[in-house]
Amino acid sequence: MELENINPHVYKKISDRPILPEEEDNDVEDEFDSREIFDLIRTINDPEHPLTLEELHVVENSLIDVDNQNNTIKVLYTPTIPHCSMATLIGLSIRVKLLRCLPSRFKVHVEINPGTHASEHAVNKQLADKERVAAALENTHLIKVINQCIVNKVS
Amino acid sequence: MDLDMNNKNLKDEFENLNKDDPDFSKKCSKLIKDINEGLCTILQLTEQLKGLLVDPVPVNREIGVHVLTMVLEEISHERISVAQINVMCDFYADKLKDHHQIIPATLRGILALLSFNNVPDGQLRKLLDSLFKNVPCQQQQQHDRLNIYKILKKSLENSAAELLEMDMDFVYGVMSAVDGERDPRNLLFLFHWLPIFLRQCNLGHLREEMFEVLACYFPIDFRTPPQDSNSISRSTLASSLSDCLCATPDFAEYCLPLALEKLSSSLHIAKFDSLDILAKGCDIFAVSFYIQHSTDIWSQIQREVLNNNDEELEKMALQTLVTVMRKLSDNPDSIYKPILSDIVDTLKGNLLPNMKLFVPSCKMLHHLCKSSKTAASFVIGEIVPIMINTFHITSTATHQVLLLKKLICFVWIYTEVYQKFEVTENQHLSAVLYLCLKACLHNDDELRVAGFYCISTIIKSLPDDIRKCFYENIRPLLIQEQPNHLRFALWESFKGLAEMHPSEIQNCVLDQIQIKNNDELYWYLQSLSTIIPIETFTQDTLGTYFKYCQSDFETSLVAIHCLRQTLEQYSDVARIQYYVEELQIVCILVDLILRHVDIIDICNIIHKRLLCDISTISKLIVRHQSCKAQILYITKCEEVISVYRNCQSVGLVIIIDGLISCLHKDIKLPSNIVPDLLSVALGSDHDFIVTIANQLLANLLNKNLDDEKLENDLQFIENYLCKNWNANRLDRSVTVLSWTTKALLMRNHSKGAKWTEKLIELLDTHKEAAKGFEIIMKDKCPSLSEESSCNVKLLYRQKFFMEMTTLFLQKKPTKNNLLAVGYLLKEAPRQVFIMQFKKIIKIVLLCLEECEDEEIMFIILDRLCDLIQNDKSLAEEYLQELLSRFIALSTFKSSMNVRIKALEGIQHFTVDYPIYKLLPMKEDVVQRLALCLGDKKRLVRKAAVDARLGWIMLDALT
Repeated sequence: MELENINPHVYKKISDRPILPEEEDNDVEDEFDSREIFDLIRTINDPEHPLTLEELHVVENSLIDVDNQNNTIKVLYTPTIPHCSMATLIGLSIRVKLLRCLPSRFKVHVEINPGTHASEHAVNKQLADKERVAAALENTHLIKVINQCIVNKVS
Repeated sequence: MDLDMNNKNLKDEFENLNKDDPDFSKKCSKLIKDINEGLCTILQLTEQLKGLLVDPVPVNREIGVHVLTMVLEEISHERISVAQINVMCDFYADKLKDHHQIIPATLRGILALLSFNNVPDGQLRKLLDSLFKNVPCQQQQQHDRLNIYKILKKSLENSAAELLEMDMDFVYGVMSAVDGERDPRNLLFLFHWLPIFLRQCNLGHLREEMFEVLACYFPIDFRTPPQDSNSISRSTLASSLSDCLCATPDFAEYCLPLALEKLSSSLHIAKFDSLDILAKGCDIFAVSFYIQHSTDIWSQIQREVLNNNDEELEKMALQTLVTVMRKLSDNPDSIYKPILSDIVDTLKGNLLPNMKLFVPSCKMLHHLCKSSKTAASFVIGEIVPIMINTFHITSTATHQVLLLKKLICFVWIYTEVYQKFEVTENQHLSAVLYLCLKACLHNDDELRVAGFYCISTIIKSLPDDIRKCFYENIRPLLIQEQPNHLRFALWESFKGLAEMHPSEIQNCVLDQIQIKNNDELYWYLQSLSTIIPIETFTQDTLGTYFKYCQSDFETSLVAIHCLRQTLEQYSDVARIQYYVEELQIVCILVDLILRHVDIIDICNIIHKRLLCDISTISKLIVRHQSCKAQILYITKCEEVISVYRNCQSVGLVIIIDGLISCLHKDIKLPSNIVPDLLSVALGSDHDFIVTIANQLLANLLNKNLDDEKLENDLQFIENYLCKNWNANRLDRSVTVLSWTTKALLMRNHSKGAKWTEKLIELLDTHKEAAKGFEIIMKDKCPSLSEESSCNVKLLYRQKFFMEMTTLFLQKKPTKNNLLAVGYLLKEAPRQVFIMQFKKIIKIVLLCLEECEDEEIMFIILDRLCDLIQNDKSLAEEYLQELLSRFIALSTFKSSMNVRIKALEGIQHFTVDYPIYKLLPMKEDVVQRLALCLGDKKRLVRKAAVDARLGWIMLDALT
């Protein structure tokens, strides 16, 4: 299989989140924040390269928005090239990972960072369509690829 | 049976015997013995076998040939003449035309004949002709095919000249015999022999056919049956096959295209074996073939390295690159340089450090350099200036570090290829060295760290001027506080230079440093400690430490602290030990404390540190000394004790501990300090001093060799505890009681049991007593170790654990008892915990249910997690019980640590446990864990995510 983008930029991983004293105190409640969501999706592997979405800057901390009161989370992601055919697959991987890792009270929106992909609206529509996502996850080949992306290689 | 005497026909003897019958071989052995002893000749034997050999029934003929073959295999060589061998050869050549059933014995016979050294000329050819003509090799059984191959091998060994006369007939014969072989044993034999055959024989027009016969096995796809542990492996077969494919220069024109074709396949082993052939071929194939395919080889290797996820394959591809390029370097520059230039040009585009292909491209360039001197000079000349340029225009320190690290590799490789450390003759590498120096002086820490590490790896290549400049610049750094990672990097280069150029370091660095205050002194001494192990510096550096230790009080505080760290770091370096003993440092430091006893305040953290430093230094020195040398400390100790009794400055207990606790058992102290220690242990306000007093007390009790005195001491302690019973400070009494018990149990003293009972009695009424079990079980207590000359009986903790768990299993599981079990488990040695696990599981699970103490809960979960990870078969038996408890605890309200541990345990089950046992519980576990995803603590949520994903992925398709 020929790679679409053979020599992408590789960015440095950010350091692990430092553990604050209040996070170790059982009596303080820690709210969900964008960094926590970022930590969940940064380790997802790119379908093409042996690199994580973080290293390719497909997902970034600043593009995640968490609203604890209204229980919504919005994740924007940036495909490495505007014609990336893997964009939907990456979006699905992010969705599935968050579906498995977040409490059900949250409604999650995964969308392409505006202006970074040729067929942005089509992909966004697909990702927002519950039925189509569910149907996609029934596809054994597709779920296999998604699982490969989600699985933590080194944990 | 005597052949000469009765001369009867052997037909009757053998006719009805099966050749696997033990009688058969017995009879044959007798025949062999007779011939060897001269009782009968081979001629007579043949005559008597005649009936069998010419029998119309094939089975009988087979028996006849079999007997003859066995005789030929065993008889001594002088018993058969050339003429007889000649006849035998004719006979066997003829037999090859016979019934198929006779072939196996015939083949063995021929093999036996070939082992005689006087086979007449021409016979071998006759035998082989008949063999090739009459026996279709691949229709024989495995063992017979092997015999055919052995015959071929033997023939070539014995009379190569005769076979070479056969020319194409022999080659064709071998080729058609071998073609289609499938048995791995036979193949391995062939692959070992064929290279010899291929080298000796001229393949002529058959070389392509011969190559095809071998190429059809490539790449070897073979899996060893699991039950056969020491059978043939794929790698042995593959490596011997590649020897065959690269056996003769004739194969070059077929072999390289084959390797390149298979290298482009997606099969992992095909890539491996192809790379192996490409590399092996370099030894034998003409260089012109490699030139012809150089573009292909390069583009394939490039593809492997750039798109590769497999480290091993990448390594192999790079190694092959080196071998092939080394081969090509034999060419004149006019041919070689354009190839190099092509490669370098392709890679030049990838040299931006933020691109994915940067690292693999650098790897290829490095390996290219390794191939030859010409390549090294060429690549360095082309690439290094570009990279240096990129370094200058890059603004991100991380990328600059990456560039620097890759640049420095060129220096290493150059020194390796040219076999010399001097690199300044290459202007580009000189520039790299300056770049390193520049990096060290940069204001970004990350880059400086990289600079220092790079310098430390190229010390032998650094020219004078760079070294001089480096010294100038590190002087201020050595006496200032630096971030940890920077300091370690700096020290690494400092140490490297001190080893290589000690006098320069002395003159240009150490002698030039001026210390202005105690902060500078601290960092200076810390830096010095890195070079202490270097022989040239040991004595002087310790002298420097010593000088500052005797300086004013404030300065000595700093110096003593550094000395302690240094001695701890190098406690096993004998040279350092020798010098510190020489300097009598212990007595001098104790005197220092005695002089300042009035101003020393244990509540002052600096003073407390000073006392501990001196105590530790004393222990580190005293414990290595002989009994004779230690006696000197007795007077010093008495002096300290008397000062202590006068002024009651509790800090002196720390000093006394330092002096006494490492003394030999035989050394007796004149004064009895047990009462002093007890009053501190029960009465002091400082927990820290209490612990020291308890440990020293235990140390003294453990080392006491005088039974009567020990008895008195114990009685005294018992009375003292009764008299000073304080319900408010019960923990203090428990601690003394526990340390005393521990001291006795460790030496296996008879009184140990009685003291243990006291502790158990106390447990019925006071839960503080549970903590005592932790003290007793605790391992690695420095004051009660063998290094402090204590009596430490083997496995005393294991014994105590077994006894106590057995006891608690019988007792009522009250809260206090469960607490005690928890503390026992906390410190229980791993092995004994596993050994006892089945017995104690009930009480352990009870602890998890009933116990409310978070600490104990956490401890038990921790032990169980360890068990789940490392003793899978044991944990598997209790999978359901454990899992249900863990799930219940994953929502344990009052402690997040318990929740996290429980979730970790649940996750550990997903690693390497039989999936069929987990699947029935999966739905339930995944659902229950969904609750934890919304936990109020982030760290718990993280553990919950890991555990839940683990369970979801159990049977997920990947």
